[in-house]
Amino acid sequence: MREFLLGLRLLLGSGRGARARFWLMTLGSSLGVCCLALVLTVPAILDARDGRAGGRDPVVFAGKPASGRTLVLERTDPHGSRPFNRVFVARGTRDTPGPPPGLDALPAPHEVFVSPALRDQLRREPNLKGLLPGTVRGTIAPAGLTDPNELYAYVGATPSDLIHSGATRALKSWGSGYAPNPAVDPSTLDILRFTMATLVLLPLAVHLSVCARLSAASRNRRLAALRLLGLSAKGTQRVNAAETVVAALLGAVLGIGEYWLLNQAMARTGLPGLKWYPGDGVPTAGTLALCLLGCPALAWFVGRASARAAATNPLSTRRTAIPRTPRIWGGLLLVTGLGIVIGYSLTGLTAHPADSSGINALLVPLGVLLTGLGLVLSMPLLSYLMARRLARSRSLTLNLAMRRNEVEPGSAMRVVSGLVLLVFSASLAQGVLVEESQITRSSSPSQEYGIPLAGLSAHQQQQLTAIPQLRAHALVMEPPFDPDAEGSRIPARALVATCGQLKSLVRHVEGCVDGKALRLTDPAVTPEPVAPSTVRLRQGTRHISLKITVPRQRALFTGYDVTSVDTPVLFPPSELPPGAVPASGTLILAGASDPATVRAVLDRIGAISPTADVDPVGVNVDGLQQISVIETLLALGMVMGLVVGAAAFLVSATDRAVERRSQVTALALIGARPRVLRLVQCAQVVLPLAVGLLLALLTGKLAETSYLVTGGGETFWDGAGVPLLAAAAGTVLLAAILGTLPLVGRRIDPELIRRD
Amino acid sequence: MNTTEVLAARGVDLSYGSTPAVRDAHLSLAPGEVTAITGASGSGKSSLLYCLAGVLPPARGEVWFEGRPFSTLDDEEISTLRRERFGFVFQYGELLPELTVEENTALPLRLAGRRKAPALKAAAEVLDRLGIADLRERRPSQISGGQSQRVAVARALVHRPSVVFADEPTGSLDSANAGAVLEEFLSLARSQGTAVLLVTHDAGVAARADHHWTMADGVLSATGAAA
Repeated sequence: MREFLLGLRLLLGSGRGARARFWLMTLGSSLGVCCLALVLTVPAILDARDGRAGGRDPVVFAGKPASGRTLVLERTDPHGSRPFNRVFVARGTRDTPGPPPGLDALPAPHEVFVSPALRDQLRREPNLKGLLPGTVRGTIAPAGLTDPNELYAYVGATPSDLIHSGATRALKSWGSGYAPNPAVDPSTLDILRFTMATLVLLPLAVHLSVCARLSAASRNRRLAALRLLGLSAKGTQRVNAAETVVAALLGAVLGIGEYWLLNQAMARTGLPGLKWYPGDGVPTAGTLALCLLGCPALAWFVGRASARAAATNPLSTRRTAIPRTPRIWGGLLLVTGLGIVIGYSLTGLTAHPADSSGINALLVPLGVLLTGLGLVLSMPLLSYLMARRLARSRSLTLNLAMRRNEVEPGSAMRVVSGLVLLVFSASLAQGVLVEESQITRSSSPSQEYGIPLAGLSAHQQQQLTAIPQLRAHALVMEPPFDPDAEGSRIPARALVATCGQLKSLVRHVEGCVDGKALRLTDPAVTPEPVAPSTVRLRQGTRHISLKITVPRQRALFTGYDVTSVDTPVLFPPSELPPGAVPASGTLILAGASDPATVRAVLDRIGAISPTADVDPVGVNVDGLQQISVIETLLALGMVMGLVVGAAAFLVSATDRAVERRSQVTALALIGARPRVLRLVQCAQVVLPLAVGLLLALLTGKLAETSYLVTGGGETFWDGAGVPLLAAAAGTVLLAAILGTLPLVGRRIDPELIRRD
Repeated sequence: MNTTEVLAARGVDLSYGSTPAVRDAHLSLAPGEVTAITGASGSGKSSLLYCLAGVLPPARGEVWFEGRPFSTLDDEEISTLRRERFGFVFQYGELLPELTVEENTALPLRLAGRRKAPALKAAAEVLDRLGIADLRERRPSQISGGQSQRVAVARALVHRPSVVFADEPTGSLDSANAGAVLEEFLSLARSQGTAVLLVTHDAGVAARADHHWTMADGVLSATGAAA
């Protein structure tokens, strides 16, 4: 305690420079703690969203709805990358449940309650009103919404409006206790946490250790003097730790305050794809404890560790610049990590790529982690080896810069590792996005929409096929399927379309003859054995049967990646009995796959048939929502990582420049041009940074590949992300160059080299 | 300006804000001669030295180098002077800890654009003349304070400057070492025809100079020829 108080006394009684350093440490810590609080609160924000989603989830009775019960029908359509949820409710006469969260009463028929975001969207897109039959009577309160940005509506209906849909259920109550579609899938959340931790927490640890080691040389001299005056080794370490602990504690308090302001601001403005209510972002007790106790605890250990040299060998502290070869174990971590990720990446070149089961689930993250840690810990060794080589150069600038790095390779690591880690982590982030994108997005240029024919009137069918943005339409006739009756053969389904319609639905057609039933075959797919079938048709008010045989004559086609054209028979519309339409089947509509067209088509479908269960083939709307959230979180992590990395860089580069002021002044006095001094300053930092960034790019891409290979997707090598990452690394490098140049001024102050 | 003068100050005033540091100073340095300025701490002697070296601009008066007033030279030209025609010895040497003794010594030549090999050769020669050639490969942290100061002297003289400015060059050394270093320094400077301006608070050091001035409260006054 005595030493701790002595440390505080030295801090308070020291000069302006020491106080400036203390505040720099404090502000640096506060920035780090703010980012830490945000990262730790993200799961709580997602939990709060999922909790409200679970709280409004309809709990239904099993089986067909009994008469008199309240009916519910849920519909989810994509609106861009966001889901647009509509809940149709038809109030019953018995066992009527209470209102859902966010509403005061169940909506009456033709009453519509919308979320605030949907209300705004309706103003911008009046066409959306077609999806909401009725009059908007009010808005849903936050208790019934996952987030302020959600497109959600309760639509009051009559039982007869809903009963024809197979998805209509009798409503028992609201609130199933779990979210039907979590904001982020639990398995993805683990990966996201890991990536966020790499993006933010590793640079944060580097940043905090940078803050705790500011002015290391002058501080060590002071500590060495105390040790020589008789303070014990442990006492000397405690004196140093006092300052770092107080700075970290003050920084933690400030950081929590900064986070509170950030939460208030971000909850109001929102982020693309992710909005939350301010209450969702309130840090938990655990987060507060970790920030307020964890950071000072870390500072205590860092403060003690950084004073060890001065405490154990105070005399040598007076004599600096003894070249030390950096330890090789950081390089061993890198080699081990790279061995693992390269191994897994190489399996992507074989016919049997590794999957994420068993030991692989442990080894891949371990390999990525070892590679990242090894990359940072190898920086001193790489910096040292590069400095030794380049110091022999004939260039005075390189000579001066590299000699410095040769002597102090560790300081180069502290300066650049935050930014190097950022680029490494960015590769991982790209991997997560590529993986998610493969799951949720179709790369096909064509977008199909499947609508069950049940519940569609002939007039509605006609209107749907006339939607102007559509390129083609067809019908799929579905026979009743009875596995026992047909053995292993599947009863034939038939696509009712002309050759022209078929050509518009698929990439390529060969051998199609109009007016003739044909066997449809995709040469890339092994045909399944099919049996003749009987389909039911509606002809006016009566039902008739139609026998579908499997023809011998074939028409070959190549479909788009995701298509519902997978029927074994092509049946010409002209062969249907006059005025007959299939009683069971699907109406297939096809148009362009760009988001604007998809949105327009879905709006028109909604306007024609508001309760139709539209299947946008190949579009995973919940996945799109998830990827939007993930993209935002990763972008947030990148921004935080960049802030922390840039702060660590600037703080340590400035500190390094301040510590070298007397030597730089001496150099200026003996005639060194400011340009030379700036180049030296720049080269000292930028060359190790450039090497680090290049390595980060290479190792990051390998780590990403190992993740993609074991992720089970089709893309293993994400070449598309390289230019973006290279541009980001180049920008970081340019910013670093510009950041170091002002550290050497033109003015020479002889006082900086006078110590009496 | 006298033709035997290499550097001269005429009526120089210098102040820090409203605090005067140097008042109406007149001084001249001749090639191969040593001029010492003594005075108490804060008397303004170092300020005058840096003013004469072109680092601090005078508020009034003029500094001349080889017949050219500093006021006609731009920053780049004064930097070139310091690099090529001046040398500096500081109280604590201010060697770059990461460079070897040889590289530290060769630094002024390298800054002036000399190629590495001839610069290192010239450095080796000066180190040899000062008797510390065996320290060439060592770093400043591996040599003693006296040896460091000898290296600083070698660095100041390696490019055969016209003037060397020495600010308390032996202030960090014990008397035995101080005497030896000063002897070697002045002897080498005189042999090269280099003018030396030596600022010190040690009368013993000043006694070895050719000219001795005293400074008190910013006012420079001649004490007379010393050695």
